[in-house]
Amino acid sequence: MLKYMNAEFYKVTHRVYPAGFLGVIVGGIALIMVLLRQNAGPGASFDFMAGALCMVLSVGLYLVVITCDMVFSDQYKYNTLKNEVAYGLPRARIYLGKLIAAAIVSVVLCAVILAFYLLLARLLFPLGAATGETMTALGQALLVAFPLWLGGMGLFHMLLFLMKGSTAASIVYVLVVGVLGGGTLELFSTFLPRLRPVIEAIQVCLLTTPFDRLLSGGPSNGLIAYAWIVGMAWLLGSTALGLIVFRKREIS
Amino acid sequence: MAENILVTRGLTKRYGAALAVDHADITLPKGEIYGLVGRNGAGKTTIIRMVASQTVPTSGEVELFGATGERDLEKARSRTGAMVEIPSFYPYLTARENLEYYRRQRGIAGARVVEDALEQVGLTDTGKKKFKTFSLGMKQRLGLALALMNRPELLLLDEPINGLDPEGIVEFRNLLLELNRQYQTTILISSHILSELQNLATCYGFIDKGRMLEQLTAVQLAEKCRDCLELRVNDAPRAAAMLERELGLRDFEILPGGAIRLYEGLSEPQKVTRLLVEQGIALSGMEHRGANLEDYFLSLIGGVHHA
Repeated sequence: MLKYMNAEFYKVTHRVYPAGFLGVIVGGIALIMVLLRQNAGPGASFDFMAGALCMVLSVGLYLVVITCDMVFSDQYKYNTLKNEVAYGLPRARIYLGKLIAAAIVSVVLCAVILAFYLLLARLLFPLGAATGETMTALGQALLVAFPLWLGGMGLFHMLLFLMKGSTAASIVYVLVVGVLGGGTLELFSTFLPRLRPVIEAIQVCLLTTPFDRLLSGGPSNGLIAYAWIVGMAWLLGSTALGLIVFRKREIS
Repeated sequence: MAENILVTRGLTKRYGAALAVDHADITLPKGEIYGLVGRNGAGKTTIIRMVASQTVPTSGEVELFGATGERDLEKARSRTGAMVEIPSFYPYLTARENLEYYRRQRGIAGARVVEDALEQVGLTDTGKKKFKTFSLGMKQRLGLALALMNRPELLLLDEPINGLDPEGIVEFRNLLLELNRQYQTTILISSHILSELQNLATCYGFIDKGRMLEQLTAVQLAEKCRDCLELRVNDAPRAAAMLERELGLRDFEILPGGAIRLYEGLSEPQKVTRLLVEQGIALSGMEHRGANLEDYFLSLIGGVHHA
């Protein structure tokens, strides 16, 4: 498995994709922060900027599409999986090796982006009155977000392996994560009140629900535990399903 | 008895209602070059893909290096090299980077392996050129380099000379013959270019509509393709006895249906006809026959078919 992951890291680091992605994100952050600094009122501080970060952590659910794609690298489009299975690499190793490599790449990129954001915020804005508390809250919010990102990654990874193209997989992923979690179910329950208990049960399991609760109530130990249960359920469930189907998949 | 590297038993692949491969039995002994001969869609690629784990057989069994279970087969496949259909690599990586990626993935020791493989196929001077800019011939060479990188004991090659220029074909043939001679590499190769296959193969499998029609060695094929005079007579046993006694011809065979295939005395057919007429044997036809692999294959499947 380590050899497999070593190869994946070699491939990713020899692409322009990660550097380009990082450049766009970091550039975007810098631009937004400079604009905010120029137009900021007297209350703007590092604490405010760090707190704002907690509000946008759900974006990570969509960024995993990019980091997974970086590692998966359009295997079906380029037909490169045949080189791996023909050599006798176990399909479970191929599936899990790419998933773990994608998770590590995501964590590294996420760490770089967060560090850059906080460093720039510290340079451009003065410290507030409750920096310690804000950083603790940010840490807790990250503990809520991390398992949900992993869950999203597990789901998208499964879709990449089971569907023919990355674009189709991305569309299905956004439909499952974004549309289901974006009030569509609420709409259903309005028109079909009898199904409300079922819809509520589904909503509890969605990857976006803990993020909604983070926005409305702030981080807590209970929310962290809930987020880990939801995230791990998605990760393990989708990985198990992906492995079962990929085992018999035709590699054309 | 020779060790068998690859054995398939009743190998079958069905896609919906279509039967791509129908109970194919192949036996490939160590050190042989096995030419898989068949038309487009006959099932050659599907057989190779099943051996290379790219497709799962509907039924039947693949045995590689004596291993049959899924896990043992996975291990056994690390002793093979495969090039199936058009070689596929990451377009944004160079030849070296692509091979280095697979070297790391497969845990093949020594970075020199990549250079050696590129050297073997004549791709050392591609530099920073990305795979996406390669010609078909270069892609084929890189595919072969990947197949050779782990010094395989069994090479699975599906239409490997497609896209190679004449010089490349000769180099490729010499390389395979050298690998086979020097390392006893066993090779399973399919190709449309039957004349090229005839330069390489030591045994053949003929496949049509998913069914394995016949397997024979190159010696047996040469025997069957020998130049001969085919005589259609009303009394083949008596005619044969006559030819042997009067003209001293012993190298012949009597075919079912009353024909005689005569493998000697071909330069003087008039002597044969004179003798038969003199002895009152009715000769309804006489034909000079000689076949190559292509002729033999066509006769086996019943002539040229057009899709």
